[in-house]
Amino acid sequence: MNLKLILSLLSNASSIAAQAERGITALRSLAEAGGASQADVQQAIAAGRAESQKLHDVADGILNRLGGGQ
Amino acid sequence: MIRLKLSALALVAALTLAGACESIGPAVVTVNPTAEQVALDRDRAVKGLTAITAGLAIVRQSLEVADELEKNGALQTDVLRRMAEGGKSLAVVTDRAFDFIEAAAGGERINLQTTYQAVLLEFDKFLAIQEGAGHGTLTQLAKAIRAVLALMTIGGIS
Repeated sequence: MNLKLILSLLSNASSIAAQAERGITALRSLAEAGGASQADVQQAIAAGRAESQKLHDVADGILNRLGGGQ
Repeated sequence: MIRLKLSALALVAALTLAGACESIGPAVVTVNPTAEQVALDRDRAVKGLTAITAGLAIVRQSLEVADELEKNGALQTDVLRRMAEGGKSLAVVTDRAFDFIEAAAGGERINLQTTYQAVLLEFDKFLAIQEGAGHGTLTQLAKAIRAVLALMTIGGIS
């Protein structure tokens, strides 16, 4: 395993931790607030859609590189 | 070091989020919901959506890691292809779930349990591929995904 790959994996691990922390913070705020509003639902959906689009983009990029298409 | 970080991450996420999600329970579709029932469904919707979004993020990270591994000859091309196709299917299913939840907003009770079960089934398909790859880092990432998604079953929402 070369240094570049190791650095990439470490970077990914930090990013994962940051994303989990944001999720934890969001849920704590929600629990403390005592319930979600309709705006909270819309915000959660928007965040989910944004993450889903990122997943689409990464998956498409890989499949295009491998020649699998979309 | 990566294994320790990922294991610790999965444990912290599971324990912390479990406390916040303890009120999640199965949603039953009823007519003429009370204001309290609507509020509870919204609460469950947001918590479930947050868990799914966190899971999607780690799936994306897993694909990025797998992509690098394949480029360096540490992962079979066929495995990467199946992971990418699985990730694509997962994104499509979660998009449908988001559409359903958004369309049901506005005071109507929605069957969150059925919706989330469909999403979790697709996560399971992806994770089977990722865990079957037999690579330590991908296995650890899969554990992190399962830890986040397990929060949806702790409260009975899925």
